[in-house]
Amino acid sequence: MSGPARGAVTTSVAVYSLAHFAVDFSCAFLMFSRVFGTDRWLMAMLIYNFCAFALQLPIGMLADRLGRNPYMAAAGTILTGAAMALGGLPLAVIAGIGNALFHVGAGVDVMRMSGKKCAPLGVFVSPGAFGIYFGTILGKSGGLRDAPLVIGLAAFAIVMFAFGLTRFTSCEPPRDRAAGGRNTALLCLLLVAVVCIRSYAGFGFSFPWKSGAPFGVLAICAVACGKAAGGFLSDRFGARAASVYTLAAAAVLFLFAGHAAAGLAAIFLFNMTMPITLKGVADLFPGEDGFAFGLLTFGLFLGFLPVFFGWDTGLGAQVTSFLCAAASLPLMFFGLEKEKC
Amino acid sequence: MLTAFAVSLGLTLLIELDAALVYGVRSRFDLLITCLVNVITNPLAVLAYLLLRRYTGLGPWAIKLPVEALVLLSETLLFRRYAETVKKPLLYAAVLNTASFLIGEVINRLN
Repeated sequence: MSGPARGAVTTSVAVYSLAHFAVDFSCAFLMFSRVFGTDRWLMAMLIYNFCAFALQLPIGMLADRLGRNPYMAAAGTILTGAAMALGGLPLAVIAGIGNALFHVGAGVDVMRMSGKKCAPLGVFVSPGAFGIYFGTILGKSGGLRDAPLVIGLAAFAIVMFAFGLTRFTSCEPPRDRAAGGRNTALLCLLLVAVVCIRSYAGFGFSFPWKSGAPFGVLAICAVACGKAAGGFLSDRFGARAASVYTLAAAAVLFLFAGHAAAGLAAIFLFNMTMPITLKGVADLFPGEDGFAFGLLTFGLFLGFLPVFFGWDTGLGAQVTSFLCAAASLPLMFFGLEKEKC
Repeated sequence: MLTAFAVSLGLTLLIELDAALVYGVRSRFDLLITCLVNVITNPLAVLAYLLLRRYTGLGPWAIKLPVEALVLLSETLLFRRYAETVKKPLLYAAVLNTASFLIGEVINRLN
């Protein structure tokens, strides 16, 4: 299979990206409008994150076998919509599983369509941050009804189902990738460690200026734009160079993150490695993109745990985020040993 | 005391390894040499600083600057002798030590 035409790739990535926003928005909205504030909130949060992140590993392995990624993404959106009929822990479980199914299905499809490029992956992953942010805000305020969400999710599910029908099968994994070789496990471990660190940083750090109205939105823009820009930068300058220089700049800027401008720039640069790690791990496991995707989201779950259990370095947000960026740099450098991204 | 040594060495290794990668060093051997050189010089520098602070009436900067100069000199000599791909050992040592010194100062002020 020579791979889909460029226009088809652009359309698919655009639809998947919008659906990504819708799914993450819906999940955050549901969790914060239905479960937040109840006595089971913490347990529901843990279960939701387990289902949404950790379950992507087995689901990813299943996706590699089935090879019907658009259908899996469509099923995920339907399940997320169905969670609106529930409440409490069942909602957390169903929304989490729906989220996991969508991410694996859509993510693997985008990964396979993008071939050797990182940019489509960066574009696909970036709207999730907006979805979670706005879903959380609207969920807490109770300022939205469920109907538009259900209709929106159903529309996306239909489009993704159509992707599956028109393509008949999902995109085949690229054949020209070389396996990671003897060091695969070690390289993979290094890249997963970067994801754990980024997840911990993303969940945990709160700079004082982030609570202000314009800067909170700007911080989310920095996260989303950073993820998207990372893919383009990697395609232009190479994964290693993009990672080393952006993380070094992010580390230094984090030390001055008490000032909003420096903090925003640091967040933007720090998030650039997101699609690079994704592509880096996928390249280590040719033909097993679902497994690679799931492995990294398992890393996201591991990074969430210290935040959930209240583990704090005691060094303050600036120094801790500096350490996160500084530690990620050599991990990325050595993890991307066989640079193909 | 041991914690201070460990934190200083860990932070220095992290910062100087990052700085080496930004500087453009790609040889694994040279990156290893960079770490080993710091394992030698950093604890000695910290020890010298702590002892001089305790037993002389000198201010912190009056001790830091000569100690850093000695570190720079010794690291330059070690890089010149052992590093394989580093073309300008003095510049390399100066970049790495300036990075770790400045970042260390900022971190000290933040805590």
